[in-house]
Amino acid sequence: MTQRFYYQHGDDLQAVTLTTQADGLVRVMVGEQVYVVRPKQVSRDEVTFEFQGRVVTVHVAHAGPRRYVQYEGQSWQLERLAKLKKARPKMGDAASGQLTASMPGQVLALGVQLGQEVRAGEMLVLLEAMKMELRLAAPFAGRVTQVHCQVGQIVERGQVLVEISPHP
Amino acid sequence: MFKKILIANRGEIAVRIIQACHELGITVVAVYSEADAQAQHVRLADEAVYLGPAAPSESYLRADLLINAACSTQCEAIHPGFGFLSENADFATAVQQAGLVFIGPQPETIRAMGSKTGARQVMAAAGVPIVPGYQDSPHEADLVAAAAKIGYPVLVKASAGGGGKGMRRVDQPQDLVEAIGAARREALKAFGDDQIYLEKYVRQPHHIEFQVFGDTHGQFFQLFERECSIQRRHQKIIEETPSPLLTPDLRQRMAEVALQAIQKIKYINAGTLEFLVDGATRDFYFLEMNTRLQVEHPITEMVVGVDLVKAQLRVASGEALTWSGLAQQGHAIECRIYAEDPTQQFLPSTGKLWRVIPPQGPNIRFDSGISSGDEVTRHYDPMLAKLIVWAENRAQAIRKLDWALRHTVILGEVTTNIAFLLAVVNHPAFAQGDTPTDFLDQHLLPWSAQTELPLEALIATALAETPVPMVAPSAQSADSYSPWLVSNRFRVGE
Repeated sequence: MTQRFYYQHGDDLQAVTLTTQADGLVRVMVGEQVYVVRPKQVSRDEVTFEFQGRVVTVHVAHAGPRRYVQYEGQSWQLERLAKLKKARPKMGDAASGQLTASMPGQVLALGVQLGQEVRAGEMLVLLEAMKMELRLAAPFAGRVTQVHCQVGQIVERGQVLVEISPHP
Repeated sequence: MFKKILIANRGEIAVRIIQACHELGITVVAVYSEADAQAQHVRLADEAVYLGPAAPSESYLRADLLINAACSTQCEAIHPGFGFLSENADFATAVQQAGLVFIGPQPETIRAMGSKTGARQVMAAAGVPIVPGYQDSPHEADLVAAAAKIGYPVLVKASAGGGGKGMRRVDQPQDLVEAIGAARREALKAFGDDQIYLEKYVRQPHHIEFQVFGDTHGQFFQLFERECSIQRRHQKIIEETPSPLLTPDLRQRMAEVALQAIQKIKYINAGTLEFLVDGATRDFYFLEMNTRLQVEHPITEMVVGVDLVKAQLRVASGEALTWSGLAQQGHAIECRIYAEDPTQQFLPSTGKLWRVIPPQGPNIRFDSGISSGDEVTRHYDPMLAKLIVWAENRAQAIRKLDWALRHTVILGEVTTNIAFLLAVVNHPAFAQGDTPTDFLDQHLLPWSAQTELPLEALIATALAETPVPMVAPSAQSADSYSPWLVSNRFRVGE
């Protein structure tokens, strides 16, 4: 029996196809590449299998379409997609001009106002979280097109605080 | 020995102290904020008292609530742990005035050593070499002149500081004023005190500290050193003992200085003298004294074979310490696992922890206060756990640490620095023992790890979507009712 899964990691999309063989081995296709693995123990939480001559154990946690995966001390977050589609651009990418709070905190100071011209590296927002001060700086020279926060406001992770657009 | 005490702390250290108390037959009262209602330290304690909302200023820093909690539950003493109010002399005094025992040194000692500038003066008077610095005046003009005299680079440090907070390194004179402002603000927030002082930035510095202990029967002990030089922005990440830098002779001289210092000030209970050792000249200078248990105390415990928390409890209850023939054996290394993302400038990470599985094996120790299902919030220090290993020698300890890190499962929305720790531990310079405090800046920062998803992780994720039952050996049985012959799929582990 063959199954196909699609995952997004960051900006990358991956298609994985599994085919269980009669001898218990599983033929895996990742994109164009083919591998053969021998599953030893497979549960929703933990997978142990033989891969390229080694026995490997990976831990997985599921939350809706998200997959949290840990292998050899490191972890990754994936999203399972219903079908292969164009990868969504990563939210809150500073290069897009959206400055977001990377963790929950409080706005200590706003260095700019709407319409202001800023230089690359100029401080836009000063955030306080976990007893530290964080400077959010302009990734490029441009103009402040939106200000979505005010001094004293508590903000959530991923919340867009200031938007700037580059000079043409 | 006490019958019942209150622990004025949370997380990993609260769990550690509960362990020691229960071994000694002491009943424990825990305290918790709103964010910690389901925390491990609360579950393990015998009783628990609610303090207030999550913010430390409304909970773990509320001396009045802590003392009330202890009195209303008939506790005899309070253990402050580390951080929070552990080095707050006013708190120690208030505890004593409420008729309770403060598990730590006397309030006067805490006060004397708590001011970094005051401590330098006391130690200098005791004949301990100190780092060249300036603390005479808080005025900008004086500080600027003093910094020029000390010579750049200089460190701006918080007088009430600790844990690397309120500290800034300044390389150029033109950056000094801004650094002083930022350091003052951070210090005010973390310690409620914005006084700062200047210190020479020693080149090739190694941060080496000595564990000391005094009891109420006139005995003083030194329990050797800890090398704490692997630091990022002055926050310790990896500690080890013995220090690869110390020769037996240098260790002896530093130990004698530490012992004399605590004898002179008649130090009671656990303490640590921090020194800066110049890697090239082997000169050593007193940095500061911490009048509490240190985060990295487990490495001393594993190499010297002692239980420092039990010793704290014994001393505080008036017993004499019975240590003799203290010696270092083997090698221990600790690494601190933080909820942070090394690929995003180590920004703290918050969120749910789906699964926590500590590594296990001979001489592997995992001190933590986290369990599966916990929520890591922004309110507290982001340290999740301490992983400590012991082995016969340093090379073996490094191998064991590498193994243990790879077998640590902390899975959740929170990212950890484990990949970064693995890179440090496997770095050739670390293997050489060449670890001055700028080790990370020299070799590994800025960190740009490959965050590409390994094939193993991707394949496993797909396999986990439809788990299959294992075929047991007895599937060959002739029993037609055998469960092993059931062929419809079922899910395990849900």
